[in-house]
Amino acid sequence: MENVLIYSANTGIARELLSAGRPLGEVWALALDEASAEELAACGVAVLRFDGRGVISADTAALAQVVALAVAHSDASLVLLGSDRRGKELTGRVAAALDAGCLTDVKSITQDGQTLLCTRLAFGGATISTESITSPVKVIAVSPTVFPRAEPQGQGVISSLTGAVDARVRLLSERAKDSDLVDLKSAEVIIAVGEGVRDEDFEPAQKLAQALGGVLACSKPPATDRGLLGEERVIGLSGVICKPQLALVIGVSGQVQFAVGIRDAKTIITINTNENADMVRMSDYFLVKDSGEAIAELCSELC
Amino acid sequence: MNYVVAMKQVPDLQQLRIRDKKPVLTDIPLEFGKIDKNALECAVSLKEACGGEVIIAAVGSGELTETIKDGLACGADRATMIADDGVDALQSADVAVLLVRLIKELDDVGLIFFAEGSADNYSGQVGSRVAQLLGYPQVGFACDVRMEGDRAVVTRALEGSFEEVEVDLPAVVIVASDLNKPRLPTVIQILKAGKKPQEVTDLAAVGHEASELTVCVENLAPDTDRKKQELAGSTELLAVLKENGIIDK
Repeated sequence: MENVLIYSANTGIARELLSAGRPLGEVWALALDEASAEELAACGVAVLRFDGRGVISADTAALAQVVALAVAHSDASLVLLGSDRRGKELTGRVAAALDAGCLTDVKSITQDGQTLLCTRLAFGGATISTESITSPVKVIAVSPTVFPRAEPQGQGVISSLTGAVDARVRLLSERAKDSDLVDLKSAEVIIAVGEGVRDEDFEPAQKLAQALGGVLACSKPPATDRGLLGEERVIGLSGVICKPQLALVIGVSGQVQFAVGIRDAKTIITINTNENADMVRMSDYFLVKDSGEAIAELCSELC
Repeated sequence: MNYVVAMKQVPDLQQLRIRDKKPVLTDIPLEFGKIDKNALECAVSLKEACGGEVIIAAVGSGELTETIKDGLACGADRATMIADDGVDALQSADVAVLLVRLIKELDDVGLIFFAEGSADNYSGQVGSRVAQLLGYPQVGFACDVRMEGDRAVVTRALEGSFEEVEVDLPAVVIVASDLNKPRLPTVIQILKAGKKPQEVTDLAAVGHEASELTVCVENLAPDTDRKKQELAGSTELLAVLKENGIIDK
């Protein structure tokens, strides 16, 4: 059984890492503030509380030093970090500090004898790559929401971790992002339109999306070549990878560049004039019909 | 003070095809990734405002000596690179070590720019590794960078917020995608690009040994087969929407 160190500045993600780490070894959690330390300890894990005023999450170099101290203290050979933005930035730095191989955006971890097999997307999501780390210390950044959050159970011991860390980044200000942007990532229903949809049918498609409680999205050309929708609505390799309950895909041929963004949908319905389109092959249901006619018919029923 | 931009040549993924679940990369032209060009644009605009030079540092296969011209046309002053077909077999950790070698040869480096991830692998570790190996502070997911005396003020774009930080120089800045609109070179800039200074070396000359810290077991397209049930018309489609709880009438 090896020792596993987990750390994320986001305590929710740290609890996911706890679930990821428990089957792999004896878990230690690193925390930089009292509230996180207590929340994690309440999940029954031993917590190393770094006592270093002045170390801020914004200073990746300083954080990496703290993680390296925690690895030495816990004698961990596996480090699990979150693959959110902060965690991903930290991963390469920690790995270089520990002479370790690292993998980021990891979607699954399975034990194969002594080997940990990790999957991650490659080529913009066109392929799924299965990789393992061969160095004595391994650093893995796990994608958020892959593992469930560990629930409170038992009481872990909080011990303090000290050490000198030099800070060279100072936080000047923080502000929240505007939240009125189109959010394809968390949309439950997506209506995606493509090259097979005529300009005049975009407005009805928008109404249809509203009637279905969904968000209108598109393949790349309607946004970049035709300027009909904003680029924030592009699905796929050069846009967003989404995971809706239902995707209604209209007039999209379904090349891999688009497909990577929609293939995780629970149910896919395709409307296309070409029954041999790639998009049809990856659909649960398909309707061979002109996109404009289909949109009009659906609108007359629903809008 | 000079700006270094680390750039990686990658296959144009818009041309990627999948055959028997395997990615087919033959005959796909190499280019610099989109976010790498954002990083270059960021450095070039700082240079235009504050002076200094923009130097591209790159490690890639032999074709890099061609690909580099695009970066030089887009405003870089010169390039230093390891161009060797053996690079394709190297991993991120090795590329970081090689970039550090190139960067250490350069004078008066203030900021070193990277993209948040490469277009092909997107592991996003090379910038952070280089920062650690050089012992420099770093700021990732940068969406705005400005110079203030002997420091840089960088805005980091996180999932739900922005944070503005001040960092001592020299430092590594890893830029977020879409932080700017990279300029398109003019014909004259393209013609002049080939004449800009390039320092080219190969793996034998630097004597690097591959570290092989990770192993790729397989890399395949996922199954996309679904039940493909044909619907007769809109009425049937509406029935499916109802079954799935999307509409209730």
